[in-house]
Amino acid sequence: MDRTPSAITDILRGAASRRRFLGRAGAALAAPAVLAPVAGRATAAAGRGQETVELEYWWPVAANNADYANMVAVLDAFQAQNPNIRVNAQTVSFEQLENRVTVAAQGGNLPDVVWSLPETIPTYQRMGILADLTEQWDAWEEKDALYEQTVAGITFDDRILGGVPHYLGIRAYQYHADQFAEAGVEAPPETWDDLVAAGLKLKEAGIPGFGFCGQSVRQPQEVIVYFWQNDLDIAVPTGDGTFRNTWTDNPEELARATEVFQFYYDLMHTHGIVPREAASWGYTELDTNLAQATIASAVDGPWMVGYEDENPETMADIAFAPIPYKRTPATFLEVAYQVTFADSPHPAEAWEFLRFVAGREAQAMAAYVNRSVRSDVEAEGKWTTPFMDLVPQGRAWPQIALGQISQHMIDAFQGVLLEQSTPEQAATALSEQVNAALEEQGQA
Amino acid sequence: MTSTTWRRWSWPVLLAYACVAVLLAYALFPVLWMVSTALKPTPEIRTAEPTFVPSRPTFEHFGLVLGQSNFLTYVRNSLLVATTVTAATLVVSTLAGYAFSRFGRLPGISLAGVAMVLGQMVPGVLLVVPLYITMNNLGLLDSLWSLILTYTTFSVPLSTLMLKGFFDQVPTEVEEAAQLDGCPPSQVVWRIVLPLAVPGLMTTALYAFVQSWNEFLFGYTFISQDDRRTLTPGLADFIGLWTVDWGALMAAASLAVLPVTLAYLYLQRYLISGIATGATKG
Amino acid sequence: MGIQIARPARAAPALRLPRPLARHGFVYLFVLPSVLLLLGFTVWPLLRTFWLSVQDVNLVRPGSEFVGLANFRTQLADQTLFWPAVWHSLVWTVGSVGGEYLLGLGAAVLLNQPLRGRGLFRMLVLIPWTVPIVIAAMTWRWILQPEYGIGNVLLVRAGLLAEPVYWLGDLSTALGATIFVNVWRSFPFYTITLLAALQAVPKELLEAAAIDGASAWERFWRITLPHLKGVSLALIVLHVVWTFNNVEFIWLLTEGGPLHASETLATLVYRMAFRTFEISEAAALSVMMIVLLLLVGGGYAVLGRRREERRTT
Repeated sequence: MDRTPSAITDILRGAASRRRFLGRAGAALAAPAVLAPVAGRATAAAGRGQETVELEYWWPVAANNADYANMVAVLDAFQAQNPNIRVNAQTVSFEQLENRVTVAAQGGNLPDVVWSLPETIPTYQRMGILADLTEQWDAWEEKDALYEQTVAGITFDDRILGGVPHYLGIRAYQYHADQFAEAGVEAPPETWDDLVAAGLKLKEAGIPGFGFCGQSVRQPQEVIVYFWQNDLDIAVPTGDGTFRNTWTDNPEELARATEVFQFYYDLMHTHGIVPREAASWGYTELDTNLAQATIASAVDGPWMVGYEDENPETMADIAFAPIPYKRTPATFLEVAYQVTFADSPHPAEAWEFLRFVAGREAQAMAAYVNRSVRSDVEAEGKWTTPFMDLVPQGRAWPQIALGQISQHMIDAFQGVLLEQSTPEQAATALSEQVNAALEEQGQA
Repeated sequence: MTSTTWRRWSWPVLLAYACVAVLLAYALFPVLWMVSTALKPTPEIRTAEPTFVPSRPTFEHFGLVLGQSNFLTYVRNSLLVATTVTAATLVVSTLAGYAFSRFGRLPGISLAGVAMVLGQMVPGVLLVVPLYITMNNLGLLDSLWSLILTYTTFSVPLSTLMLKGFFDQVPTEVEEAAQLDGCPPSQVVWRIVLPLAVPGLMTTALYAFVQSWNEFLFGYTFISQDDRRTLTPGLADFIGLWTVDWGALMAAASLAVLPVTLAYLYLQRYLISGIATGATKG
Repeated sequence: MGIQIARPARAAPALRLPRPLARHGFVYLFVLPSVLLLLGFTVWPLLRTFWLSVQDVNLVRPGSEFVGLANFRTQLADQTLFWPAVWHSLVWTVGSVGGEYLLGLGAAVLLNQPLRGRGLFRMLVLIPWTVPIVIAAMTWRWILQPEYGIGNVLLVRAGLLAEPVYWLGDLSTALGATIFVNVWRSFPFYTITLLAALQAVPKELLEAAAIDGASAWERFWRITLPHLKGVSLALIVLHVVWTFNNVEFIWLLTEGGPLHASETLATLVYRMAFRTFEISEAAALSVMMIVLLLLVGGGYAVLGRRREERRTT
């Protein structure tokens, strides 16, 4: 009993770091006192006359990411202009960001700024943790340069809550042009009917024509587009921050909602255009199958450029078109935001940072130029133009907390695809479930 | 089934080797796939017609992991945490395991045993928030101590019960004699019982080490600073929003598996030596 | 379960020295550190869980109030998610722990034979347990994938499958496939633990029995297995608890899908606590899980005691 503690303290004091094996790791490992708690993360007065404010910032950018250098360049540019603010950027992966923020909020220990995905914003707003930026926003001269759909995501009852948009991920119809040519399909489909026709030709040539996600976080982002295209929404505002799914209020709407489910069902079962396995595909499976040309087309995002390295041969013929539509063209805008919280001890500095990232200078840098949220920043390229061209038809999520609702969306479609329920049953059930969830969340 | 009844390459021996082959195939298939992926150049990794053996092996992914990521920092932190947890778990569990084994009938002791199993029943998911709040109050967030305390708490119950099982196997005659001679209890444990339970201690140590080495949920919740991050949460560096750097991820995972397996290879002499058998008289 | 712990195995009778309690003070000192850790880090979360289970906390809705047992009633009335999840939890737990124990024990006995190279074999068998769960799950998901998974490709090539099967994506195979992967990951720990315990099985006894003409099976059943009882119990009891509560593997492999076909109580709790933010419902579900575990454990303890009484009388 009396020996071991001293051995432990030795290790904890860093004796272990002197060992040979670890010595090889070099400077990265030489950081002293790794076990000590971070002393007062809020401020770090460097004692150089002026007080330095440290902003704790969580972002999903890791040192080995392709755009790491570009992203760091943005931070560096900000530091150069604001020598009194130090941005302490810590990597938190996308999958973990929302969890981390909700846990930290419950523990009262939120960072100053967090890089956030659009579906998390209404959740944070409902949790009451977002900073109210209305005043700063109104005083900001450049605000009108931002696409309005990106601002909608942070507008709650005419107030600006939480943050600013900083980049766009836009979905487009991506198809393998060689496979289409091989099957004799001359142009990419423009409508749902075209998609079916093209899919049947591809099927004759032995190629599965289309694919989608049956589950995972991508699924709701895909199906919402088809509802929009059929002049519906998963929930519509009814004033005072409340929402309602109106499908069951109106037989005509219910019929249109049913059409969306029927469309999915027909693609898979009636026409055999989409492989049956897609009922359980997550986004990894969908993206990989598109990249490997196991399916000839899918609705997907600009990140598919990353697959050019993995699958150079099959990705060579990838081409783009707007998403086939029914009544109204629409696509999903994945707007990433930089968000700050009401509890942040440095609201002024946090706003400085937010404003900088959405400003013209930063948006024109390599990190953002291909996916800028500003209409006054333009770029061209195979993986840029086809997507940015779709901004006018782009839409963002309604401002409802999505946790329960996206699960209901997955369940409803999977039920139809796995032939456990009919399209009409699924549409009715989903409508009721969405309203029940809104009720439970206090948003009805 | 002792060795004396076996002749070399008789059919039971061949059968045994065949069983070992099947067992290893099951155990190692995904691991070999992992290593093979790590050694493949990127265009060969995710293809519609996968092959097991890399046609053009490369070390570029290993180079990326060791050179351009924080992998080594994460390894250092995980080593610190895992060794501390292992040491603490051994001390705490040896004492408690011995008490449960020899004095389980004393009032209150059995209650502690029940509490120990009860404590394991709260789903880990529900421990995250309360423990986060506790660590915040203790000022331990972003400190490896938060992980050390948590992991030790998690590994003590199984370790204690396991060691109790091992102590149960050790005959009590010698201890009784020593105790009658007036030897203090701590000495009885240290000098007499522990040496007989070395295989059990080593297994326990390995368990505590691997649990802390591989833990993910608390590791990523309690630590935000990159330079304090541990290995398993750190692997998420290779997973992007919609894309995964498979080559680097598999290279990092292959490297992460190495220390534990090598340690086991070394520890085996303690695990398998016939220490316990010599003293046992049925 | 707890009662089992309190009773030393018959192989090693407790010291029954008639002494005053005062002389056993050190025993309490020995147990103190573990009790302190438990008190500090699991008792308050446990109490908090009970408290939350009778509120209606939902993170995306401000305010909460006492609702009594309403959350429990909601769950018990839920035929679509709750009851199937109870069943999946049982299948998942029994299937995993049963498979792990049988395979672990088999491997331990096998690797305890005097085989050439067994030191290496033992190390190799350990490896699955040392692979971080995130990686293990991602790798298996890839291997079992129907379009580009090596597992399906090899099975089809070898003629064992007519066409690829979406093991993790099919309603009928998803839960079985997650159990298969879980057994793969966990059995090595049983193996090395039981291997260590096998070292303490007295060789003299086995040899004496062999001379008396006992078959290998009889020796294993009558001598080896009883010696493994204490360690086996500890392994099984705690793995039952952990497996029942395990979220990571199922979540990373299937997210409980397709259509909740691999949804267990534990993944439901995770979904509610971290995805839909129904904190109180998650807590109520956890309380029911604890009760379920206690019922199973209590039933087992009572059965065990009866059997023992029958034997002694």
